[in-house]
Amino acid sequence: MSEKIVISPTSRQEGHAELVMEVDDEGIVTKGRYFSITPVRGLEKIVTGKVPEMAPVITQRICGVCPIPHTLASVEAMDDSLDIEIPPAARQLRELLLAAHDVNSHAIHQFLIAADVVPADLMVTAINSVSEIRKNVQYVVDMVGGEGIHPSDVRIGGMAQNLSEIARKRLYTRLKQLKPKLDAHVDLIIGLVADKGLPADLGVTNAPTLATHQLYGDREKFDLERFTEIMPESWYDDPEVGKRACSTIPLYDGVNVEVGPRARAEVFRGFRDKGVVAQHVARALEMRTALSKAIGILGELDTSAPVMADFDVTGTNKLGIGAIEGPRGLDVHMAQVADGKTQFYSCLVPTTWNIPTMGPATEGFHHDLGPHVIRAYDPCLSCATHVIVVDDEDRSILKNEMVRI
Amino acid sequence: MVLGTYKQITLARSTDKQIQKISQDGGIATGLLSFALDEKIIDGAVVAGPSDEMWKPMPTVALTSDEILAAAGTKYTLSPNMWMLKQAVRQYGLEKVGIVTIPCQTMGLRKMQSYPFGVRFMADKIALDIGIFCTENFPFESLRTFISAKAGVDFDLVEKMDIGKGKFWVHTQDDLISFPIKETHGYEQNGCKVCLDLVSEMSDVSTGSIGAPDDWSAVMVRTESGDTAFKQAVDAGVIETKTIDEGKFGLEMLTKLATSKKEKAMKVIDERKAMGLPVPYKASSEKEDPLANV
Amino acid sequence: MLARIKEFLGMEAKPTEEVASEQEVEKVAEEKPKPRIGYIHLSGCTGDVMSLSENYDILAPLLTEMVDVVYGQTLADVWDMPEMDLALVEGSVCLQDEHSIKELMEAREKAGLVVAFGSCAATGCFTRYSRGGQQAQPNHESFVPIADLVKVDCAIPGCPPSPEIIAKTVVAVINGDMDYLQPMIDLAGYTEAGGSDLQNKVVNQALCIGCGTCAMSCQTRALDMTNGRPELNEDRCVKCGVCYVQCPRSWWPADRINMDLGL
Repeated sequence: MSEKIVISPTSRQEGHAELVMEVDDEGIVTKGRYFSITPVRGLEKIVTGKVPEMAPVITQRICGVCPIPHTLASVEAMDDSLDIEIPPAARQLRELLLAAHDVNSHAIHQFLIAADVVPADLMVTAINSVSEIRKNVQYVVDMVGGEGIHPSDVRIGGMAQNLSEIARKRLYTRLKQLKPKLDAHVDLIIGLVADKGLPADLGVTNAPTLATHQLYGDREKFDLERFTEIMPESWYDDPEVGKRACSTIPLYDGVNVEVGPRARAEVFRGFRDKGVVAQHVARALEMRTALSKAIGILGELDTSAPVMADFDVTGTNKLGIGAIEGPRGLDVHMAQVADGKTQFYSCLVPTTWNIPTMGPATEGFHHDLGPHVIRAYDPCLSCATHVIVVDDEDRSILKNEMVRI
Repeated sequence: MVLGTYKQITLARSTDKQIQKISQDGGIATGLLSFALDEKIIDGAVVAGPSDEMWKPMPTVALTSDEILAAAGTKYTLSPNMWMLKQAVRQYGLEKVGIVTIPCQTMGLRKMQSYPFGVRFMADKIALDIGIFCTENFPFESLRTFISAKAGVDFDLVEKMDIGKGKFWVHTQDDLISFPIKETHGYEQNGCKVCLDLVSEMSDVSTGSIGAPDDWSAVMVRTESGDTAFKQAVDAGVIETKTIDEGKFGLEMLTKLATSKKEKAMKVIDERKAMGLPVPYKASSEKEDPLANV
Repeated sequence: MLARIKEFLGMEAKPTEEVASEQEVEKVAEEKPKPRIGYIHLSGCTGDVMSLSENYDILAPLLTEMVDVVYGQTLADVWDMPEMDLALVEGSVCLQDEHSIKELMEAREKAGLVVAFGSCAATGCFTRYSRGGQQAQPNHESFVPIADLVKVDCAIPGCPPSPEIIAKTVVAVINGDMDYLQPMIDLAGYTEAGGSDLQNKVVNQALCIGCGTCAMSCQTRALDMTNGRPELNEDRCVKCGVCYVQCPRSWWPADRINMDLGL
């Protein structure tokens, strides 16, 4: 008899994301479907018909965990639609902002998976290590972005202002001092993941990787011709899942893809390992790359250089693309501006790319490992979850059990 | 309590000749901020600096003594100094901020520190707030009226303005023109009419000319951090002090004017309450001490 | 512990000679049962919890020693919503999503105090602009502040609220410091935020003094100061309510400030 296991954040039908797994008699997942059930606030429709300036302000509020990539993707899409070339110093500030955010966001990710991989006696060490790192990189985000969570100063055409020289020196010193701590943190995380002894091929899928740049994002490497988007109804073979899913399914070359730090590492750094452990390792290693990049930019930034381009906001209805490599993966915003108003706006967020890949990634292993697979890819939708085994025939609840985060 | 809580009240002036020459009265704000910057008590300050337009101040982040000096002197119009505070801690990256505030700005500052709803990582970065005495403030166009119409002077020729001895004084290179302060009534901004605070009761150190002889300032040292900074400046000889006169032109005058500001404002507040209009403070019938700043 | 955290947050004057009484306060506080806190996530971005987590230096003791987190997707592994002393509700509520409504109602039933945590819950924030029509759920159209559906006891507006105000509020709840919480109690149900409230309730009412606190507080830089008055760029305004809330002329906590300054 095949059983269906539903994992849903709050109770059996509520919450923001569900993982539905069909399992065989041994509890091994034979079919996994993961889908979002978060209400759709309709940000794309909110910004349509309004002036372009509104788009980054609103779309950065898609997510409070990764607001920086959304802001950057939004302004880059607008820059592209309006044919703006931003000053080099503005580009440096944007890259600095994203690099600092990457370190912060990866640290948050590690905090959320801590209970999965960190033994109790090391928990305080791990959490303090996360906090120490976040405190320092968020200092960069505060100063460059204007606000630490939803950045106010990333603007169409560049940045609202350059850093002052005193701030540049201060940030440079702080990040230099952070480097040995970050190195130790990365070793700690990689070591803890190795000690956990997760199956080597857990979470391995056939999905190809998609990454446009090793850290920042490159719209030239995102080919719109190869992209399609379908409704969940035509993707999930379970009609009920299809109806309730709240996110559309993006495909590249007609198939679902994997995005994120492991994808970037594979495409740009020759990283060959796949699966859950590889996700954790690639993520940790990317923190080093990002910190080095941030230090490098702070070392050479000209704080007297202009950071805002002159531009005309009228627009020609050109389809602008902003492709940003966020911590969880490629974040693409698309915008068209004409008559000074946004005519079209669309976001392809990292989690959406990964959603159709995450479900199948649970297949082939015991369902107990399912939630961890999801969290390894993306903690934003997994949260603390609950397993309910539902009989396939009458959908009644056979047992409830909570699973660890 | 009409002057708020303070540890010390004194007369003081800056000993620096350049500051004495440029600044208003005793040059305490300029002198104390410069000293605090030199001693790394602060790493920068938000001041009412010059703008493109004469006598129209612009909130500015000053990082050097020269920049602080450039902001010396009272401007009798609005300079939203609180506005620049975020720039100071974000783009400028300051961690120990000095700021000059008039009483209402002091209120905005202190409310933000006690209740920082939307303001992150700033409350603990305010190292020194120097509060300025303030009877009322004027929109820029009111100031223009005083200078051009009442004093009959070209704006560009004005070197200094001050208020004292019941008059509004306009200094030019060759002339000193005055008109009765009564004539400015009706030109002040409306929001000042409910203000209960003449002496920046919640600042670290407050200072102003009321109660002080020419070229001196009255100073009230209020908080621990204000006390530390002021004592250091006095010990270093940057600021000299002398005892404030208790009498009619000293403490008595300061108390009288502070009381009168509160009484007038309380009347307006009570009237507004009676009309059902909003006010942030309680009506006189609602509090124990009708003149308290609540 | 509480005393140390309070000192860290600057919630009271620096310690004076009254060490003995302070120790007593600490002792009483530590003997009190830890408040049971739940976190309910509706249509929000999790930025408010992110902000909470930025209390780097006190996060661990706050979460482990000061409170019991008894419910919440990101903070605890609990399925059935238990009885709680305090429910922090993040996000506005989608009227087309019956599950969100049900969860909010349940929170109201199970929690002693319901706190609108962040502007989406408190004022609706930018979700006030929502108007539906988007895939994959084009019918999701109405997002309203939670006070539209349930009685709210306390509101902490901010997009997001600062790490400090969150910590201060939690400490005040632990301490039963109703005096500190009063403004948040008064703000519960204040849902008309959006920059225009600043204009209508302060500038129009002849109360503005041009201090610039509103513009400084604005988290999206929607406010400038022109001729000493706030000027709103509506295209950047997310209707979080912070400008009005921070204005020294909207409400005035004189006693608390004097206490905090040791005056």
